[in-house]
Amino acid sequence: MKRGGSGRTLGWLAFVVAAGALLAETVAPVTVVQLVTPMELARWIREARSDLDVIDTREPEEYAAGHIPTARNVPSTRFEGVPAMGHSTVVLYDESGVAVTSLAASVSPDGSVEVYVLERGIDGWLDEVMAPRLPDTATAAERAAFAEQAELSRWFGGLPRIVVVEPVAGQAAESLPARSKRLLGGC
Amino acid sequence: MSMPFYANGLFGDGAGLTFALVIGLAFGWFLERGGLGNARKLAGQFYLTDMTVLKVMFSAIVTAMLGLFWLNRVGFLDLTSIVVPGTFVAPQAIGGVIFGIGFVMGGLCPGTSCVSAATGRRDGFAVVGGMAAGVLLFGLLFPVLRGLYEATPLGNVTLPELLGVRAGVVVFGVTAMAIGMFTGATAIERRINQGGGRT
Amino acid sequence: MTAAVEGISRPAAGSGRPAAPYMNPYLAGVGIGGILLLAFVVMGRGLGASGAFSTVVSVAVSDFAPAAASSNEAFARYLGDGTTSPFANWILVEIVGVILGALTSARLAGRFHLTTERGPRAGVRARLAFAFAGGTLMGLGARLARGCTSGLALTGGAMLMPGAWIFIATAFAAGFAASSLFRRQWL
Repeated sequence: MKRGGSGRTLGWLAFVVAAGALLAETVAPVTVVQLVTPMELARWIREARSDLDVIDTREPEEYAAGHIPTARNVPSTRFEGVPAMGHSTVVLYDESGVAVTSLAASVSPDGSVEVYVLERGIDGWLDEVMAPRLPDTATAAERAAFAEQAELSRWFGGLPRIVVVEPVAGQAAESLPARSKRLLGGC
Repeated sequence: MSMPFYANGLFGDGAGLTFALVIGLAFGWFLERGGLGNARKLAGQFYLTDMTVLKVMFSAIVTAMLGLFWLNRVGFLDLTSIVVPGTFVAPQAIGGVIFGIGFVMGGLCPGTSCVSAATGRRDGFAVVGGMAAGVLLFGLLFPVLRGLYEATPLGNVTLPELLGVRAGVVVFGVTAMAIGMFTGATAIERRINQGGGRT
Repeated sequence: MTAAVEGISRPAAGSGRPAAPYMNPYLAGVGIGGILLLAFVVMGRGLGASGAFSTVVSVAVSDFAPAAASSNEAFARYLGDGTTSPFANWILVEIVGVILGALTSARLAGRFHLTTERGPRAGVRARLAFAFAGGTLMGLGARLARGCTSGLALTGGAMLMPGAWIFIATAFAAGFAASSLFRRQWL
């Protein structure tokens, strides 16, 4: 029976691939690195979560010039075997959030610690938490959502603002990972 | 890790939409090939006379799931760039119930209703029309339904994160479950169609 | 109960030529899974269907009653921010593709004809009424659940999203439970 044959073959193939996944996970587990948004991190810091450990991976001079409140400095060059210090949630950040991902994987090879990377790094923090902007063309719903962001921003000593939006000729470059929501979102 | 290509800025929105069309063409093609444009075939799932829905759906899920796991694992695909939609327990459970009843009533789901209509089926058009009415109804009732719609959020979590189990284990479990269902399905189908006789 | 036998589809009316048999469901499933995977790899998103309906309905409502549409979040989120057409929506364009792909496949296989699929004991009018009613329930259910079988079950299922699996379980359970009410339509 041709039908039974190809079904059976696919079934075995799927089983082998899945068994391989199980084996890989058991023998060589990989740290799952997740992204955290600046707003989310801001909420965690304000909640004073005891399991939270924020690590600034930039050089000491940059750290001294300004860093996220409660963060400690472990420069990427000196990142060997970072002590997790018993915290179960670690957030790493650097300038713009891209290079630090490779460091994140080395934090907890056995997966006992939840490792996050701050989306867009300190740039993102400055943009979203310290100086969030609301366009004056925002809808009522967007203003309501911004209120929480503004309040959180002020708590950290930031300056939320409403700005007048000028029509821009030509395309402004979209930041990665924030590509067009209408192409990435929706069901 | 350069995948997903769009998220990494490899091409713009126009190409993205063109790609949507191509993906849709292939999707519609396979759905029709599998007979999922035929409401009788789909409804048969709920009477155990035709297990095509189960077979196609879970084969698709397992294939994509295994692909995602391994592409991520070998470093080709950056899973953090793919946004996992938020889970909302209550509305998704209740919505599921309402949807399921509608499915056995209409014999087609939103996607397959388009396939059915595209092949000339009047019932396909009827389901399409019903879908529009249902979406409109939801919108009109939104002020009332909003509470339920936003209730019980779990966040953008995945099963491994939620259960505290490693992804590979969940992947294996889902695959094993699917294979088990397929084995059972063929047996049930045979029994119902032979033993059932006329209804 | 002949038409329920897998693999046999009814011939095109009047053509005298038997329609091609359906594809092995496992192969069709793997094909669809591959397409879903391709969407993830290229776009960083999965498939969908109900979003297309939401877009079209929202635009229609906004044409008839612009104020009502823009103030109702359920419709407003599909209208975009005014810079691009709301029809430049990934799911909508995808569904256009689905229609074309299905049409092509059906024509090539001799499965295109103007007819109404229904059980041997069901009348056309009753069938169409139930189809419309069923569609309405699905429209409501899919919006509430934030997706349907393509967007939530398939896409979310592959991503191991808990909500997807909840949806699959409840939808199947409800379908099975309600099936006895509609036997006359199908068997």
